[in-house]
Amino acid sequence: MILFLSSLVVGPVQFDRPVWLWLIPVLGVMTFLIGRKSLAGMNARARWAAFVVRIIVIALLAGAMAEPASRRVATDVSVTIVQDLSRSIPRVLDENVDSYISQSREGSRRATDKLGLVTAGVGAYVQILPSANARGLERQFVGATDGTNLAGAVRLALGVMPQDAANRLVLISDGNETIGSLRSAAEHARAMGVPIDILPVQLSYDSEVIVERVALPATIRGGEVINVKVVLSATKATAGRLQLTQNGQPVDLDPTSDALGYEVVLDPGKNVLSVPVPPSAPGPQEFEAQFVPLGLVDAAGNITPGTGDSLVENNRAQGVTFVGREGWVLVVAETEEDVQHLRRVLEESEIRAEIMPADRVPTSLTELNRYEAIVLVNEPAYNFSERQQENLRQYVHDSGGGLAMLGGPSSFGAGGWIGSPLEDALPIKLDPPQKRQMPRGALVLVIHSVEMPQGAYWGKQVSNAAVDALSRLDLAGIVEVNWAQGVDWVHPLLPLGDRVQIKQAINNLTFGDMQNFDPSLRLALNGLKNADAGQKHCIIISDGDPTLSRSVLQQFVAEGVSISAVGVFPHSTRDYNSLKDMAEITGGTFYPVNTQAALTTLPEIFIKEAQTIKRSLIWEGPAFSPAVVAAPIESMRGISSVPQITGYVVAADRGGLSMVTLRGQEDDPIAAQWQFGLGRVYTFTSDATTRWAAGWTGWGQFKAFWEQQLRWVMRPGGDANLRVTTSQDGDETVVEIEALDSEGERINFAAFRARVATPDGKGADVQIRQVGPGLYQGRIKTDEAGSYVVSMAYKAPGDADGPPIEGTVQAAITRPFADEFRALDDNLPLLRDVAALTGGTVLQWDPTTDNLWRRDGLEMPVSTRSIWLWVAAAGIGMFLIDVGVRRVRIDPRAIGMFFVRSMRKSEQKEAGEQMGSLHAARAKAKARMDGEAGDKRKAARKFEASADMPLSDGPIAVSGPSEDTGSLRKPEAPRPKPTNSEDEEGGMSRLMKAKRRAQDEYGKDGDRK
Amino acid sequence: MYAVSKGIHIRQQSSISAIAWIGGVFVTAMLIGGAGCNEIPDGAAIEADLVFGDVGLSYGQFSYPRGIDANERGVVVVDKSARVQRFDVETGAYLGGFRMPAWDLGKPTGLTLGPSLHDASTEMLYVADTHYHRIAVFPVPEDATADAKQTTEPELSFGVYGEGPGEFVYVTDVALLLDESGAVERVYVSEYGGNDRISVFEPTADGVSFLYSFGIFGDGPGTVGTRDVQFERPQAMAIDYTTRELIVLDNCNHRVGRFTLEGELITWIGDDTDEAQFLHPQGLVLLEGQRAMIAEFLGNRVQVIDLATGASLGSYGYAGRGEGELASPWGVALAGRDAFVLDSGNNRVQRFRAPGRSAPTPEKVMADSGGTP
Repeated sequence: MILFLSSLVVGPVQFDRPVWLWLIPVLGVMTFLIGRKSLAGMNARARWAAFVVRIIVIALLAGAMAEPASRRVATDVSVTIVQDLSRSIPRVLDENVDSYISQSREGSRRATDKLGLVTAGVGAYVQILPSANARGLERQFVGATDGTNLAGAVRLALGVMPQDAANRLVLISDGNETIGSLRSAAEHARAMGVPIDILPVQLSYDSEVIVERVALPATIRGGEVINVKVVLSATKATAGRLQLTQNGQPVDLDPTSDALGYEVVLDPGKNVLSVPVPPSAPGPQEFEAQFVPLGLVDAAGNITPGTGDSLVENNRAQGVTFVGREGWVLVVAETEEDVQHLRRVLEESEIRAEIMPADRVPTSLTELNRYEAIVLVNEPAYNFSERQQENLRQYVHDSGGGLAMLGGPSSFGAGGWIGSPLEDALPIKLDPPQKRQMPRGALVLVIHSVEMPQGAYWGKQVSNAAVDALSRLDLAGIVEVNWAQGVDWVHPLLPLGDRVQIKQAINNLTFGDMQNFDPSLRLALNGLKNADAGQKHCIIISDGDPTLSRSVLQQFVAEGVSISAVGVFPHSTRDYNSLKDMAEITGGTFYPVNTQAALTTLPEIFIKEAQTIKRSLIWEGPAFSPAVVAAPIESMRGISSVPQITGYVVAADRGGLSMVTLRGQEDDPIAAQWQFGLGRVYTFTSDATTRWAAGWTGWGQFKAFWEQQLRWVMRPGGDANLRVTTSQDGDETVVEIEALDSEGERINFAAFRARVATPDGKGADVQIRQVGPGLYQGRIKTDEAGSYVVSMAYKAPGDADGPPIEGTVQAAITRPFADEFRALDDNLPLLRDVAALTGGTVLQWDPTTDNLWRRDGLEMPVSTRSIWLWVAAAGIGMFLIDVGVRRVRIDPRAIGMFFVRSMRKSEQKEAGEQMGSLHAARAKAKARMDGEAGDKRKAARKFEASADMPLSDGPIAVSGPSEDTGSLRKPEAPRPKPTNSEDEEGGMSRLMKAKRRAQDEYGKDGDRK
Repeated sequence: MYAVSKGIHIRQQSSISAIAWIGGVFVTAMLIGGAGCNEIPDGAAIEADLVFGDVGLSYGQFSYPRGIDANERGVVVVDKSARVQRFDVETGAYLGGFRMPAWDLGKPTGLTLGPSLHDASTEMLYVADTHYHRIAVFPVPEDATADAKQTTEPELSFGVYGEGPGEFVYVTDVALLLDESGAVERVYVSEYGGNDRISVFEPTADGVSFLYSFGIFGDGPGTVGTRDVQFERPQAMAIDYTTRELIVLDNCNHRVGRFTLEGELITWIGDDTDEAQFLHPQGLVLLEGQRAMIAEFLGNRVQVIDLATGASLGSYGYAGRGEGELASPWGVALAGRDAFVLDSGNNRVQRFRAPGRSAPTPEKVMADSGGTP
């Protein structure tokens, strides 16, 4: 059964479908049985030869069908070092590691053995691909080191390990990981049969102070004193200065001293310092405590300066609390014109608002939560970083904040919001409707190399950003120099549609070297010239060193196509100028990028650039009054018609739960609203200025209209009195809510909808259950450092006749600093566990005995190479020999004689003598064979002749002149033995006779007809 | 064949079987043995007898190598980590190396082995330090224990940024004109970046002095017999002592120029369709018999051409990552009959049997011509 199901290994050959090998015995037996009759005319030796050759043919052909592959067992060992470079491990260790590896290599490594290096920080990076050439350990870009992702590094090392060698990983670490699970990665390694040896970095800090956390109540009533508790731990008695900031501003803890903060002496172990802070403004209050060590304190109370602390990174911690909320709105606008009429509405409606441009908008979600609603007025997407856009989305979805987006020429699709994280939060789709006929934009990206760490990653990010900012109707193409195909479209200039194809093309970009800008630019221009689009634009990303001719730029000018150039680390002023000229001559923009940090802004640049062709999404035309969609909606109460507008940004209905309240040309949505997660969103694609809505500013219901919209989106206040407390429980935080109504009675049976906004930008639902009278509890996974904001919307049944009690409440939790700096000891048990799990060992830092490249415990990989074609070809070759063996008899003696005589050729004068002797030898051999064959010859004919064919008891045909010799004549031939020519004649004559007979019959038939 | 047929007894009147049998054996032999060989293949994979290098920063590894030269004493390669490494011609073993003194602005793209400007008996390495706008001359690295990441200052360098006479923008290659005693008579430097031209220098006691330059940026045909020529990125040069010509690869115009040693245009190869065609000719080495091997950056092959007629004589390799395939080859060099192609995109050097020896040296030309150049 095994032969049927699995592969079969025979020496150096492996058969993947060995079932076909059954053909060999089956057909072998059949061949033997059939051959007994059909080969009866041959002598025994020839018959056996024929049989053996036939069996070989069968074996080869069956072998070919069994899918044979040659096996090669590897002999090399590849060792990939996974080195923990996180900041918890002192960098001085690198030298020890280098010398250890160097000595190990000399001791145990064979010349063809491989060495590789992967480093682990927050991210994992391959420093050296496993190679026989690798000597020392070279470390280049290692990324952020304030975290340890050992699991990622082990997985990366498994991903890059060579397939033609047995692999071993050597993990150099203290075992303290902050991201991922090393154990699960070790399981992965075990499944792949790769042992992980451990080279432990044993750490223990003699004297260390950690600011564990800043403990604050989750919420505080307005006017209440905030009691900030700072939890510190110290290994030894240490003196130092405690400093505190509130929202970034220092808090004077000791008014009697000129210095900020005050001096404290910490006892060994946990210390809790309590600092009362006076009541402050409403909203989230973020406190940061910092401990500045002065030195160890001895028994006599003397301070030894400069001692007491090893790591400074763990000397600060943050905490957040919410001080009683009041209704504030944040209005984001770039110009006074955009906001002047809205300002009037806010003032008249007594809605307290802060108005600021986008660059002053808070960057953290915690700070955003100070506001009940955020209003974006004619704001383009590129004014907000990707992270800010994520925060805005979370602010609505997870924190229950309100968002109103008001239009203008730089808003919605025309402002590059298509594809942004916020797009999903809006009640309209920013891509125009598919059926809508409107001018399109065309964009070509010309991509050159991006030479820097993670260059390819950022190159792809920016391309994606640009493509995402376009609408589905726009055309986009990418030109690149590919080493194999040359200058070509990676993605032809086509409408984007669902963007799947272009995303694939971006993923396959190679960022190839470019000698000359001209062919790429010409290709881009030709594409744009033929494109059916209103706005045409080209973006080039390059270091600027390819050759550039000005004539090609003039062609761009002539065609009205602009080029924006992104100069990534230009080599020289000349390259810088080359790209700058390219942009200036064609009317585009030049963006120099000279730092890694600037590189991360590239996606925003590209979104902004993509906006160049997005003006086509703006509708401007004769004034008309948007149609009010008749529906009983709170925000449109009392408004039955609205004044005329002259422009708006085209968008499409989202459908589902979104509600369109005003419609424009071709039923385009002008105003729409919906509930998104815990928050509400309102969009108005026209504007609130005289640009597009001149008639509105003097409209009697202008204030009522906008006040209703804004109040609708604002986060609702609460009817109840809720107190939230949080407590840490391992990797989780327990949120406890005590709910009292306005009369102090406990609220039972409240339904909570809660979301937590996590530091990684993703949110998560939180299950909150009642655990006692008026007491509710939920658990949140808080395993990453950073701020977590929990927003809860509650609804509880009211009194018998009264309305239900509902509202929202928020709380913040802060994991103070990266766990990287929390551990004061190594985590050797985990490392030992990993070694035991994978079959590795814990090394002793002794290069002479550790023997990194040892063979034991490793399974050598086997590589296979298909050889069925060769086996089949050999089978065909053998088949021809098979035919030959049955049809042609080779006389080795004659051949041998010939060679003997050939060697004596120079001695022999007459060629006739040679031939004569050869003939004589052949005759002799024939006589011998005839004698041996005896009576069996009677059956030696291969083919059964017809009855009228003359029978022969010898070879039917014999070639060569020796036929004339009398010695070859059969002694008992019943008839004269026909010669070869006679036989041929006989055959021919029979054929002729048959032909004549057929002709006669045919003739008769013809005559009959 | 005759001998064998003499030993064959055709048992039946099946001469057809015999022919089929012999033919079959022949076909099988062809299948197994492969097709017959031609000295210069036409686009077949390179039959490399030595491959060395892989990606990385250790000894014998490359990070996108972009310059190569070779002679019987070694193969020298410079890569994008600004490391110059020398390898054994026979084994590919690392023989020594160093790092360029500066590389932040960019890395070199051209290498030439040749005698010192002032001492014909000392071999030096001329590096076209492209982004530092100069030619830097280093001792040939000889110490196999030397750390190739250790920077080394050049013994001599010349060139400053500029567009004036003797100034450079982006230098790409150096060609040395030697006299019959092997001493440097002239130095030819090619460059691009607006200054797409070739500048000619002669050695002086303390360096070089500028003689003249020829070529401007453009793709025009120029005027035969004059220095009125246009280049778009002249990438590599070589001197043919037999014909006393300077051969130049005009990379972005996809052509090869033949010039007198005074810079006068003789002809272009590659601008007529009946001649050899190129796709970014990048690396050049001359063969005996007025032939040249040219590595094509985007053609992904090494083409052999007849310089006299402009005809293509065949080519080695095609685009790919596998054995005998090429990815963006930046250069080709010769040591005796061994050709070394710099397979940049694959971070390796492939050695194969060249279809002839390298073009004769001036001494050899002198000897062959009886002393008259």
